Amino acid sequence: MKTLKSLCLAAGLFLFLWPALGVENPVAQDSPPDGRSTNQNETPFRDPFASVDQPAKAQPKIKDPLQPMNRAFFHFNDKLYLWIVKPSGKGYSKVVPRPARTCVARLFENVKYPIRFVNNLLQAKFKAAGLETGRFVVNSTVGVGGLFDPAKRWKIEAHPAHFDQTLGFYGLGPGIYFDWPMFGPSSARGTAGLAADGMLSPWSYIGGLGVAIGVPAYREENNASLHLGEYESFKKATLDPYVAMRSAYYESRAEAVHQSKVKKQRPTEALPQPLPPLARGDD
Amino acid sequence: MLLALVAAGVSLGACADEPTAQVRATTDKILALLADPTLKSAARNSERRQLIRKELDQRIDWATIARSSLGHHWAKRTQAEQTEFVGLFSRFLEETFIDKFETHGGELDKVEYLGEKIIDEYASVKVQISTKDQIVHPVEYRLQKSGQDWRIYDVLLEGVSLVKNYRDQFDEILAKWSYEKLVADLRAKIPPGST
Repeated sequence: MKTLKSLCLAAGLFLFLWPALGVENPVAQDSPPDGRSTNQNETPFRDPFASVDQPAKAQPKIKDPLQPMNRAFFHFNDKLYLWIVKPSGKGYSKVVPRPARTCVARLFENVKYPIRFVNNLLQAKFKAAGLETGRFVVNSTVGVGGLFDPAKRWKIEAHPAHFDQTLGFYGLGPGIYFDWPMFGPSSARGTAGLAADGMLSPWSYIGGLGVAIGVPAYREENNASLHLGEYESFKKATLDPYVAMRSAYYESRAEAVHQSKVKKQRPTEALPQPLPPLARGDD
Repeated sequence: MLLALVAAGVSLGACADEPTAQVRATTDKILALLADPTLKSAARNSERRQLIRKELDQRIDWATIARSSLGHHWAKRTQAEQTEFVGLFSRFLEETFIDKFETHGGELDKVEYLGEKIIDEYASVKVQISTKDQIVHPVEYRLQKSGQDWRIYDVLLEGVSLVKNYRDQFDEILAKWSYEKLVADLRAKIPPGST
C-alpha cells in the first residue's frame, strides 16, 4: 500500500514536472572558447577534445525561468548551512573522530545499493549491476554492514548510477533549473530522479516519517562534517556562487550521462557525484 | 631495420610522454614546496606562495584562460582593458589555487596519471587524485604546445570545466550589470598585497 502511494506520488510529481523537461537541445559542445576566435589577430582557438572525446556530452542551454525563486532558496540554503549545519557539524566532528565519520558515510553509501543496482539494470548494464551486487554482499558482510570497503581492495569497482542519469541515458534533457531548499541544486529531470531514487531508499519504508527524515538529515550532517570549509572556499573562488553552482550542476550531470553512454559495460571510474544538498559547492 | 623501428618507437614514446611529464614535474615541484618544512613557518609563507606562483606561471596559460573565460565579451574590450583583465583574473585564480593547495594539500594521498591524448599541438592529460579518505577526484588538464612547453588552457574537475564555469558567471554579471562591476568584483576578491 505504502509502495503504491509512493509510486503515485512519484508519478504525479513526474507528470507535474513533465512540461519543464525538455528534449535534448544540444548546443555545439565543440564550439571553441570564444575569446580566441574573436581576436582578429590570432588563429581561432579550437579545443579538439571537446568534440573528439565528448560527442555525447552536448549540453543544452541552461534554462532558469524561476531564477528569483531559486536565488531566494539558494540564499536560504546558504544561511542554513552557515548558521546551522556548519556549527553543528563542527561540534559533531569534535565528538566523533574522522575515521568513524568516514565509516558512517560508507555505510550510508552501501545502503543506497538498490538505487545503483536498479539504475544499472535500467541502463542495460548487467555486468555493472552484478558488480554492484558483489560489492554490496562483500561490504555488508566482510565490511561489517558497509562500515569498511574491502570490495575496493579486491578490485570490485563501484559503478554508481542514479535515475537522473538513466533518464538522460534515454535522451531526456535536464529541463529547467531548480534550487530546492534543503536539497540544493537540481533540474526538472534531477528532481524526478530524486523522487524515483527516494522510492528505492530503505529509509522510506522503515520506521515512519521520523526515520524517513531523521536518517537522511543525519547522513547529510555526517557528510557536511567531512567537508567543512569546502563551501567557504567555493564561495571565495566564485564571483556569482549561484551561477557557478548551477553551471557545475548541469555540467557534472551532463558528464554523468555522457559516461553512461560511452562506458557501457566498463567500470565508470569516478562518476561525478551529485552536488551535495545545501552547500556542496566543490569546485 | 628492426633497430630503426624500435628507435622510432622509443622516440615517439618519449614525445608522447611530454605533456604528462611536464604536468607531473610541476605537480611534484608544488607538492615538494608545500611539504618543505623550512618553508612552513608563517614568516616564510609569502616566500612559499611566490615560489608556487612561479611554478604555476610556467605551466598555466593565464592569458588564454582569461580570454576564453570572458568569451564573446573579450572582443568588446579595449586592448588596455584586456591586459588589465588578464592580470586581474590570473592573480585571482592564482590566489584561489594556492589557497586550495594550502587548505587541502594535507588531505592528499596520491596523484595517479591515467593517460594522455595528443591532437596536433593540443593535449589532454587525465589524472586521478585520491584523498586520505579514499575519495577519488578525476581531473583532466587540457594543454597547448607553446615552443617546448605544454601550457594548460583549461582544467576539468569531475567533468566540470573551469573556463566554462567562469564564462557562465561572467556572462551573467555582464548581462545584468556591467564590465566595470565585473572588474570591481574581481579586484575585491584579490587580497591586498598579493602580487
